[in-house]
Amino acid sequence: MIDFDYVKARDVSDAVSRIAQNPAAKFIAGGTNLIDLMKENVARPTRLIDITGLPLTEIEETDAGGLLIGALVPNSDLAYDARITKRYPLLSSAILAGASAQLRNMASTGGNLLQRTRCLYFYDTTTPCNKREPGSGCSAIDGFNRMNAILGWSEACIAVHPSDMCVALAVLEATVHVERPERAIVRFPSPIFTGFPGTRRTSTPTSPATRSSPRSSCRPRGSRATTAI
Amino acid sequence: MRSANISISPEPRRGATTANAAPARCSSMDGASFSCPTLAVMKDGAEITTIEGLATNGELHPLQKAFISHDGFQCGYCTPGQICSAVGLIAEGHAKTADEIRELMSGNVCRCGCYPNIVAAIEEVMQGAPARSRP
Repeated sequence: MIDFDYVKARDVSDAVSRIAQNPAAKFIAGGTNLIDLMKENVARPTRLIDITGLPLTEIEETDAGGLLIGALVPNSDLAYDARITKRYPLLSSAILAGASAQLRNMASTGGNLLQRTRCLYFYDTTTPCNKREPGSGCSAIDGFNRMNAILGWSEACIAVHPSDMCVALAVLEATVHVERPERAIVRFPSPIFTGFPGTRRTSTPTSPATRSSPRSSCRPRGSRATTAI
Repeated sequence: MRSANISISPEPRRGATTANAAPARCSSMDGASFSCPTLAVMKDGAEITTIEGLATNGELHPLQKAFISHDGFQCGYCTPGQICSAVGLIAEGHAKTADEIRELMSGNVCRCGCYPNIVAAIEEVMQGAPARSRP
């Protein structure tokens, strides 16, 4: 059992200042990844900051003709939103290809961006893992690695990005908006990143280049992240 | 599930990973979710329906009846989760066909292999009419 404090953020600036004050704290919204990581002893936050009450649940039109997606929009709401299915069908199909209906109902857009890799060794705290403990080494390179990267890996890590949604957002050249403690909104040009504190929104481009890109995804049906009994 | 009316003061609380103690699945009229990665404290004030809450005044929920009439289970281990997920599926309204039922129920595994009967039970309740017999 991990002891931790729980606090509910009052508003966005409250959430941002609280996370900035405590490096061992983590935001929690859907909790579908973080709670698992805590149960496996991979994540040991001393405080959970519940951000589910924050007003980040809307999908808004931007002046430039894109969409601004709140960090707390559930994956299922995003996938089924009429504007998304019409203008960014790639994003919709990518989300619906991942996880299960129950998890998509729980998981938030911001949490999806920040979920951690499902590499077996990242979860196995008895083995070295550079992603979990930088400098300790990569167990997957010479281990059981059929679910790891074929392209785009390095000697330090062969884990793959865990998010179907994130890959689609990257293809669509979405921008991630992060609110920093100094109240500034920082825009990151790619949704594939990790480790930045703050609350997030994601905006989609004004002229999607991939309106009807077919995509396929396959995954083993053994994962707890996908299926439950 | 979309929680509402959460009444927790914004002060630190001592917490623990106690979600394991919750029922196997939970759902609400807003949709189905898993209880295992849910912290109970985050749902304070929310309305949560589990399998125990589906029957009204001793009258089984239509899905419970349909699972019985279609033999939608054998050992029964997965059945509470299957039925709660199916309640959420129908409430959410995204499934129109048997294929879509199969896809949206893919988060629930039945090791007895009762899938055709489960899909038939859900299809019957979803359409409000007996499902086609299937091979």
